[in-house]
Amino acid sequence: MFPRASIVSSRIALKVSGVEAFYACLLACVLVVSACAPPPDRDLVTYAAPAKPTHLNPLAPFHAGDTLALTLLQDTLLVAGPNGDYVPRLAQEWTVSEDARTYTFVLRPGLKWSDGMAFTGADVVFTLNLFAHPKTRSPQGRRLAAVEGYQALQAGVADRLSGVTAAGDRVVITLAAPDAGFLAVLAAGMYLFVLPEHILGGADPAKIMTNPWWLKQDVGMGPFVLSSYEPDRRLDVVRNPHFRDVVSFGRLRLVFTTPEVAAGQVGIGEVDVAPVGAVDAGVLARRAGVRVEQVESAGFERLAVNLRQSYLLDVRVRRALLHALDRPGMIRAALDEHGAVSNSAFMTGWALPQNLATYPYDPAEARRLLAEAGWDPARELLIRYRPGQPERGIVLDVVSENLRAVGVRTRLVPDPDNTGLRTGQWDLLLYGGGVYPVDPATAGPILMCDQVYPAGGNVPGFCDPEFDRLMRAGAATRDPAVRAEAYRAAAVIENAGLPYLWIGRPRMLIGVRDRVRGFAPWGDPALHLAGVAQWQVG
Amino acid sequence: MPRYLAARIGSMLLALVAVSIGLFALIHAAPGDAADVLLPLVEQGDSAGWVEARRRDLGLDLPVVEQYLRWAGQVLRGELGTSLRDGRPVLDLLLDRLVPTLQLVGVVVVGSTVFALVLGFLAATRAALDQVIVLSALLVMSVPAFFLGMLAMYVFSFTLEWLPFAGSGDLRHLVLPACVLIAAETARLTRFVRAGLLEELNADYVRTALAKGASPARAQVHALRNALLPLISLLVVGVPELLGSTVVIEILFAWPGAGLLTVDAITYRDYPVVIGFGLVMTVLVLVGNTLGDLLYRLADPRVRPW
Repeated sequence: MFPRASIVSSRIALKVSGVEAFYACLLACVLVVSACAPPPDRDLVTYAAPAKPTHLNPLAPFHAGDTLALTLLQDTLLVAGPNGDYVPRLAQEWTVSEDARTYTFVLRPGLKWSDGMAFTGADVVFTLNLFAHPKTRSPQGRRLAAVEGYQALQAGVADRLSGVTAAGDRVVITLAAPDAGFLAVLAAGMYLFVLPEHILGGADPAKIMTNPWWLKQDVGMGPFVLSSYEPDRRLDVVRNPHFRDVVSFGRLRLVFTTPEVAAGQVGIGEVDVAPVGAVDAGVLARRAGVRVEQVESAGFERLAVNLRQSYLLDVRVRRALLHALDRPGMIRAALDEHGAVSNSAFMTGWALPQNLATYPYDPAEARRLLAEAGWDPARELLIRYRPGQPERGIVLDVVSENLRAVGVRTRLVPDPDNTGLRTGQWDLLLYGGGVYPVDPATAGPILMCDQVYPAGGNVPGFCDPEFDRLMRAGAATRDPAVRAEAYRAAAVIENAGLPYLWIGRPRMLIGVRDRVRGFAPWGDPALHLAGVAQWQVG
Repeated sequence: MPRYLAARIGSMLLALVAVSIGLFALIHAAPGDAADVLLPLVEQGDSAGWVEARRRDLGLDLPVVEQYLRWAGQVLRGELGTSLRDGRPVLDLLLDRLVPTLQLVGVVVVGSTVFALVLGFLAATRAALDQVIVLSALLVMSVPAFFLGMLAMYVFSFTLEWLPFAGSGDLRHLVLPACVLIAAETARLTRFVRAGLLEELNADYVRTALAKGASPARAQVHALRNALLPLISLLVVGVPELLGSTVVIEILFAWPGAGLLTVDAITYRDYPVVIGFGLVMTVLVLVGNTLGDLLYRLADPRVRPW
């Protein structure tokens, strides 16, 4: 016998049971749907790309998402490897003349495009001419400015680069002046992918930027061929039957998600490889079936200083700003210690002197230097940044707080499209990237007088004739001792001149499912797929 | 009826012109343009004058009014132009992306309506459940949809591994984004169904029906039908809002809908895509409103919108 109250509640319970049944049905539906997961495709590897491709056009402005996809479809003569060395790709070897003016590349024998056509040196000659052609207007073209005949081509008195020739399996590049760092031009940063002359040879250089072939891209020298591309969604590639190596899996898919979601996806096996943030890396490292690979970045995070602003010209102000920054604290807060403070744009070990100033975190020294330089406490520094990166958001917070603590007011303004940079309305600009370890000459485009933005990547507008002389001296010879001496002296000038407030060199973290073996992380995030031919998939 | 429809179509055309002008002005008021944003790397410089040349190629160097008139001419020829980002036809892009969005929105509208009716009815007629349902709805409404989405991802994908994290491909990918949006929409609608039904249950005609011997269940069904009228309005008015929430959820779950496409288009200052999306959404909202009027007529024959 139930007391009356219990009978009442049992009636309510009976009525509620309809609702419960409704929810139970719903849950059952979810379970049934979840049980309908398709069986895993062993021949497919999925990579979560943090950056989406925009045009798949190697002639267009460099974009990490495009380069990442292009490393699957096309190839370069050589590339800057993860260990600061040059890795042969289409060229199996190369020689540099004693005077550092003539570079001879020997192509791998028997190479074929994905459509079966023979790959020859003529394709390389065609490609370099296309990049350098003034009507193409490729921002990468200027990287070939050292090649003989470049000026004549620009002036319209020649129709091709006289310094690029091919004969048999050899491609010879002759420079107008010695440049021992020229290999880095071909191998690092903005990559000069070799393009098929038999497909693009007839195209008008003036219209090639908008050629619809880029989105089709059915012929290439990369390990894969484009199968389908749904912008913002996925890019599917299938194995190139004529690739020079045997690729162990048939298909690869790039999907485009936020890094946080990508970390979750790699955690449950929805994707196989994904760059992840520092916090997510800690979670993934504790999860079965996935490991976190890491490698030092090939570039560095920095605050460029706008040296066109009179109030930033006094080097004591710049030293004060750097002393005010708690850079180890930023790396701790933003990267969970996955990185190291840097004090130079030079990253090649043999070119770095031991006596670089380290500018430790010292607010008292910062205040002293600011007072000495007569800093106006009412002045507000305009800090521009590219939005959308959580780690940089944390760095900005610390920078702002650190500078406020020494009496420097700041205003943070996003600059998603470089408008602030081009109009000169900025004092400090936070950005990162670059590929510097392979050769100290790679620092030239961000520091030399003739590279001041927009001509080149010298964003601060730094110009020191002695620095330029040393950079040219370092490039003018192949003698390692002479080069090292010149670049070390140049690094000291940069370290003292402070065109950049270097923050640090982060470590790249990549979540990798255990089924993918042989994955070797590269310091340039655009090259994470450059070693895909060596992956073994279980 | 014909006059009503003609008036509706006329106002729709006016709205489309106004929306296109508004969007055109807004996107041109933002700093930078499609040529600027395709030069992302500061280290690259712009020695070749790429930005200016690209601007000329895309016609972005023309006065804004002339750009608009050119674009409007294309629309009158039945085109929506091409994407400034990669040259693909905008209409193809939108048609391709509208299907996933409409799938998601359709499931959400149907799902949330069913849930709201059930829960609202239970809350209004079962005192024991009322507080639980009202408080639950309040709780869900207080949580932003993206947080709810992340929570759902963590629980159902990362921890339990029942459902995919993100992306698209099969029905499983639709479950989490749809459930998150259904939860949010249900919470909003349930409160209105409950309030509407309570009001109807206290109306004279219900009391009269009960006094005449109608069963409580029959009286509740009558009351529910009358309580549906504000729900129809809410659903119609709520569609634009729902499309807004869908954008956030599409980004979070990498659902390849038109919202995700448009956010990218805004980032790239790809105004043909942005305006094309605006126009299509305007049409959908206006058509939705018209359908809402017709549904209203079905639910309450006394109402004559024409």
